[in-house]
Amino acid sequence: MTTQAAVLGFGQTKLKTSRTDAGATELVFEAVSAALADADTTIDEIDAIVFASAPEVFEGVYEPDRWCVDGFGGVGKPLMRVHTGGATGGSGPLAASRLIASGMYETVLVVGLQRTSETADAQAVFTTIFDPIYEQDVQLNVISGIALVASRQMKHYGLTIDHMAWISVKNFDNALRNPFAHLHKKITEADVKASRPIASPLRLLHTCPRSDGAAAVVMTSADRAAKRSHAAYVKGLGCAADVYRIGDRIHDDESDFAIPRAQAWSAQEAYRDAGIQNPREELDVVEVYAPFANLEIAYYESLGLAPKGRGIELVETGATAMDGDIPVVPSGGCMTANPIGATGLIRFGEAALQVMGRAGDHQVDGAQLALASACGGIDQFYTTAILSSSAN
Amino acid sequence: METGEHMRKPIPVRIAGFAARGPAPDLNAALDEMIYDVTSRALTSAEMTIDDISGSCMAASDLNDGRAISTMTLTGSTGSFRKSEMRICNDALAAVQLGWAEVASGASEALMVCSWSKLSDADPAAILPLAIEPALHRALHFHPGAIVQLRASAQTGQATVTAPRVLRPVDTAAAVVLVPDGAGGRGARLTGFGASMGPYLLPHGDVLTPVRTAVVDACTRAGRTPADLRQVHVVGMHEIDNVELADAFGVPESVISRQADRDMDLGYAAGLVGLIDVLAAGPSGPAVVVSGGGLAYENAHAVVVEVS
Repeated sequence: MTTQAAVLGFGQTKLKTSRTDAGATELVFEAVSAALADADTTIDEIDAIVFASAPEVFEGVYEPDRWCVDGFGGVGKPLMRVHTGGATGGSGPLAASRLIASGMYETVLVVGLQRTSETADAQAVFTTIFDPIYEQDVQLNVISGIALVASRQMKHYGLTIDHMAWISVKNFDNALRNPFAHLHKKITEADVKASRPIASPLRLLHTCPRSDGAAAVVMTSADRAAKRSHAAYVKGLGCAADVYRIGDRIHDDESDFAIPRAQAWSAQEAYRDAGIQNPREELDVVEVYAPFANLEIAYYESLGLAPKGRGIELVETGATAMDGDIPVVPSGGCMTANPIGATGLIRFGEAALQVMGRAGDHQVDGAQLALASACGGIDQFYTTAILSSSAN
Repeated sequence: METGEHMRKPIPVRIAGFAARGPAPDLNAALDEMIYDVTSRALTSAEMTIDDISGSCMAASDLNDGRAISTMTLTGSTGSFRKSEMRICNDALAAVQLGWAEVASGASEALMVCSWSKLSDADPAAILPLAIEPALHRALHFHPGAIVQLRASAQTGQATVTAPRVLRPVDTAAAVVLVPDGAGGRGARLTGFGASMGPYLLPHGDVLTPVRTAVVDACTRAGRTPADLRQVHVVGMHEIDNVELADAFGVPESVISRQADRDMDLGYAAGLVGLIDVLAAGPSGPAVVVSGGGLAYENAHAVVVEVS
């Protein structure tokens, strides 16, 4: 019999292109203080810490967990750092859930940090992942890689620039209700279509910003959470990795490099855990880690919110808008704030806020079951979490 | 710091198979080849195939591998394709603990835990300054050896000056397969874990406080006392002599063992290589493997392994 994990509290910093007013230690202090206050918990009640931060080349610091340890109260406590690329922020609460479920610790603090402003060019970093002789000259990075995904969605599933523009406008509108979002700007579909081309068919307003910021979540056992005034319960978790060679991901109906199959594998595992048969009917709100407009539509299909090839229908019917039947990223999501290693943790925290009824102006009425995801690499690593307002 | 009242005996898990390669100054192998070698041999030793594991939990440093995100290209060799993948950026004993949690929580029936370090592809001299605060300490060319000595000076109230022992970069890879206790009944059991993080640079407290805490907590969770231990295998911490470690852990010096060459830099793989060293030696009875990472051993992890 394992222990169900739950979320007691969530905190995040204001997300900006560059938080010149705060160093890494101050950023995590800001987020952790907010999370502990939200959880009505003191640092003394924390048994262990999971620190989530993506590649060191983003921070310009080796082992940022050691630098920041005084800022998040980690001295003297067990600590481990997770780093799964862009999926890091989703891997953090997953690791904490396993530590709690196994009975190793009862209360775990998850801290996410990224100061992307320390990197001159994040995409140049991605390019250096690949083979220097065969692959780096192609300049394959996340933006150009996801542009290839968008091209295949257009070719095979009818995706248009109108669908992508609608996603951008929806998410920017949602962000206006979220005081922590990086981009607070009213945009129109015409603005999106006129924005600067980045990698065809992607334009600037189809893509996410680079953000500095931190987030923190306090997690504990469901038994302890049940004694608190508010909690969100972890119902299901999934995690899946794909091969890195894109050519190996294109060979049959499941593997078309248009609809992310690893997101589907990850979600299916989480749905099995949570006993979800029909995600479109059962989920109340979705916080996906979609840094690009086309990816959000692809995720509608890999998450089972729409049948294969029909994700665009959720756009055409407005189903994923705040007033739709399955709101997606009511916070504005990754397209309006992307502190890479912390982004997945923010999706997780936002999903928790939704089922706790504490999401403020972007609260989805009556939300009881929420999904949060994170993605890393070029459509390669995924985590999925299902959070509920009630325990098992 | 945790106290004994808060610690429960963890659900034990078994090590069904293991394999290691190196350490050597240059294994003259591609990174994925090094890793595939140990993961495939660990599966063979566990009498399993890749289909039997539900994912992998790894410990690796991008900088030590000389890459931006090294694990991104390694899904095939770590065995995580279409499966769970978790990556730790601390000593591999932390990955052992998280892999243990995955198995003990029922999330996994069999899990690969692997770690490696490929310093032959990296520039160790360029990595070290990145671990030092940039505005002041980096400009002073602080060295971890100097930091240990400064802490010792603060502790004793007297200046401590020694010639630093220079770490030698090496390549290595290691893997273990974890399964629930009772699954076949083969292999050593993991019965206790401990971990503790010390402060960054600030010289308050004994340098060995974090590793002592990790060892004590691991023993407490395993229901053991230091007197029960047949072996305390120490990885890293190359500046610290056995007599000081024995004193810190409350064990006779004869119980302390070290990696074959204590000046080798095994990176994050050190803990897993140490665990495999203990398994391969096969002492009967409980042993502790303890690692101290960071600038002055402040990131400590320990596990109790019982070989029967």
